[in-house]
Amino acid sequence: MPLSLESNNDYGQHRHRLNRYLDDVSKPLPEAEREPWRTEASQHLEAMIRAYEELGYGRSEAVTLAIERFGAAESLGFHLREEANKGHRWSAFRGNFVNLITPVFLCFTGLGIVCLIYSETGSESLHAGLMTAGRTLPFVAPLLAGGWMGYRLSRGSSLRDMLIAVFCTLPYCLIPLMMFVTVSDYGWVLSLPKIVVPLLLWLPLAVIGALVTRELFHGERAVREQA
Amino acid sequence: MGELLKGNTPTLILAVLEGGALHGYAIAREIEKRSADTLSLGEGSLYLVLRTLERENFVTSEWEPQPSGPARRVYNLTTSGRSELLRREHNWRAFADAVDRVLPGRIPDASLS
Repeated sequence: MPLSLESNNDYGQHRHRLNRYLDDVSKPLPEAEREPWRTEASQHLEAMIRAYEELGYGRSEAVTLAIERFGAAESLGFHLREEANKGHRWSAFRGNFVNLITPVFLCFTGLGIVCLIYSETGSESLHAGLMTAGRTLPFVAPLLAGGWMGYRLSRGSSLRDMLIAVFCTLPYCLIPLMMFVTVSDYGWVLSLPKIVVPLLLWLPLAVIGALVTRELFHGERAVREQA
Repeated sequence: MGELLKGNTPTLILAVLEGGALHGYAIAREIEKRSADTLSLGEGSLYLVLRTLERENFVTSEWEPQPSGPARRVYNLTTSGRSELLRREHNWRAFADAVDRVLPGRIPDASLS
């Protein structure tokens, strides 16, 4: 009886590992495709596990080998989502909703943080803090957006989709620039043709952000894959 | 070998489906069997290629009820899939012939080198 309880427990653990793996792969997929994919992949993995067990491997080893051979969950999920979105109108936007929203969210989080810092350290009012934050945002936003782009690139996202996502943050850098920055503060910027402003401010900062995070996370990913 | 396999996975899948409808696991095993275990696919990426082939209308899929257990998704070759297979096969043969003509043919078995 204790043996049977133990093997039941073992089976539960392996099932849990498989489920976690399937969750990770299917998470990025469109909702309608998640369940069919899970069923199909689960049947495939279980057949692989049975085959490994027939070769003499223990259940735990068989599960590990099957998962390894099936492929890295994050990358597989990402590519399956890319494939699922192909052929749809606005596919790059549909498939990258999180990538589009995150830089925007980061921009406003940055604004909030700068606001808090400036309103507490100085004697200025919150309004003054907001003004300072507004001046800072055009610089912080592209760095954050670029940083996010670099992070996603290091995780296997395509460059095209990431560029679309980051370009979508451009208005968030321009609007505060136009709203908060006074002519006296940035007169030289505003005297330039309007198209030059985003190129001067936004593009180099976004590229720097992207390069830095890509390097940081690419290294970390390589180490994980090696392990 | 890895890059070559990656580029030719759609051809291999179309070729094994020519023999009849198969599910994903059986496709992978059939490719292994026919290649005498030389070609071993990343099993997950097989589904990626199947999705692409389905989107391009070279294969169709349906859920087939099983006598015991849940239904399985099986893949079928379409008429345009057959034409695509012929086209890919022709391209591969032309490519392999050209490479053969360039190589001096002195290494019959790479494992001996």
